[in-house]
Amino acid sequence: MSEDATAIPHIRGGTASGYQDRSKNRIIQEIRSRPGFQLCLVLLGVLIVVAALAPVIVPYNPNETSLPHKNEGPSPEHIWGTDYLGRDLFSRTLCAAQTSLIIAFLTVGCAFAAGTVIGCIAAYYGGIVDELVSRCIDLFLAFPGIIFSLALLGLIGAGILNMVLALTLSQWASFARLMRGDVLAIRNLEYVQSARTAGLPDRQIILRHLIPNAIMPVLVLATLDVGHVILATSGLSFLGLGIPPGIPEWGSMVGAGKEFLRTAPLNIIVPGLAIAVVVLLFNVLGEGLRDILDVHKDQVNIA
Amino acid sequence: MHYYLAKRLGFLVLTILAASVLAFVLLHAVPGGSAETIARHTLVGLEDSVSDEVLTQVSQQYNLADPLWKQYITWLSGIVMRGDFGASFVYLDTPVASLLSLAIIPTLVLACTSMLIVIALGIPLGIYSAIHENSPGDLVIRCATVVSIAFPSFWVALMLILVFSLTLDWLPVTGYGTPANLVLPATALALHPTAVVIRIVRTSMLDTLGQQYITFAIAKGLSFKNIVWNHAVRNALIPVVTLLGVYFGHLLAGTVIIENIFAWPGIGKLLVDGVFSHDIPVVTSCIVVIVTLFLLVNLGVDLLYHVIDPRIRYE
Repeated sequence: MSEDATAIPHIRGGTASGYQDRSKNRIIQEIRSRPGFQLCLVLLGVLIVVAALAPVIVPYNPNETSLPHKNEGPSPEHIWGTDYLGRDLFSRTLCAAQTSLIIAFLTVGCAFAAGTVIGCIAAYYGGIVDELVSRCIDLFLAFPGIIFSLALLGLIGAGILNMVLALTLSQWASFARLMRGDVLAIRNLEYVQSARTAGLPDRQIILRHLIPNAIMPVLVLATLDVGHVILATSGLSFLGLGIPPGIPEWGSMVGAGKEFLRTAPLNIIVPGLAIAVVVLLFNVLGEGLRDILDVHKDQVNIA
Repeated sequence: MHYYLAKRLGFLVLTILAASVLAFVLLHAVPGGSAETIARHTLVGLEDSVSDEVLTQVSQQYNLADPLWKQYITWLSGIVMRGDFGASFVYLDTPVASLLSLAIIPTLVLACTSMLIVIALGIPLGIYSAIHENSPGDLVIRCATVVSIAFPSFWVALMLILVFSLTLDWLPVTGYGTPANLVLPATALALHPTAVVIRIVRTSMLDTLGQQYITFAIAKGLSFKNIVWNHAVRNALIPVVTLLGVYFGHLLAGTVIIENIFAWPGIGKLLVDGVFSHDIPVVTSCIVVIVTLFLLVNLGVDLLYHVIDPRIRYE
């Protein structure tokens, strides 16, 4: 990777465009040779379109209760049955996809942006900055799993943005750590040094040389993290945290339905399967990307 | 080695301190830590108005009028000097320390049982999968791990209850004390880490089997069994050991959800109950305990590393 990049004749011209064209071709070839990955991309595309249009295309208002029809099994009117308040499970499950995807994309986006910038700055400047940032990363990584988000969320209260904030605070550190390691590996390579010698300002070196060349493993981590965040969101909302009432979400559907486990197990089975399918798709996407982009396996592990 | 140990222990203490500052400041700075909230959750009803006398009383009892750093110092010195984690906002006459000491054993029992399941299933299945690469057994194991990682653990727990408690009536749903109570929560908790460990063992084993010294062993004419058990497994398990420390942390975090489903009287349940009743001393203390356990286990794993792999020298 680095050797290719050093071969670029014009340093001031910005990114390693020649190298990127060649690697783009290779990536397209790799994707062509993987039908499973293509299927996954198509399904994810369908999922995102369905989630985006969910409130328009669902047959029922997801919050419309109808107590005479509560806990019904599948029927022509309600194809996946109804929940404990008589709400249509199919409509609720589809609308919940939107909630989950919005939270997951916002969280991963924020954690990715913050982690990339912070990790890159730490590695590039080194010294006391690096020391401080590294200790900060260690500190946040010392909180296992959802513990930190859980405590914070319980006190700042429910809300989609609160959820995103609480999850971002627990996710950014792994991005920063990975990015820092990647940048450390390339920051003294010849093309970075010559960019520095050519007098490029730090900001340009970071934005044009370091981030584009160190970003691939972080991108793979981001893809794998989407599934992870969806699971974390559903876990928190299962406990009753983070999702305001009136917004359908898979975890809170399971949480509310668990009282009817014996009489109406569909209340639980349907949203649980929905979570699993979506998380599976994002995991397959992330692992496919990891193989295609040839990121070393040790670097990116699903937590 | 002694220097290394001292340095690691120093960092451990610093990280725990920093984590406690972070937890304490964050949880006390957000709205919810005020005397009014405490009074609403404890002395009077949630909707009632709080009189000034009650407010003053609560403020005094919990030192809420002090600046935040002073409250933190008071709290920390209580822990260090007397093992006193402060008073719970909700359980008025119970110190947090006794709540914690009651809860820590159930959580450790649950997490360690799950860890045993993870090790007992994850390592053999991973080795099997690697030795029989691309065989039907390997494919089944790989599919199973990919699929089981996608299911949320609370859902798996509820499905286990549905099948084994409600339908077959083999195991109790909730309760604590007998081994039968432990089976379902430990299984549900172990599912994710087991799947991940299988995959890591498999990858690591395949890497090891591709090394030159294995080729050399084959060339020497050693039996396959001999090569796998004497040359490959030990080296392949080295990276797995570090990850077991990390996964123990995930188990601890996972107990938060699982304990609430099975009404398991551990730290996770204490933490979530504390979160819902805005019992900040309990929440902060639970977090500090969980972080400490997690860091201690990781330190232990790092030291164990030395025993398994003498090539590693600590500096």
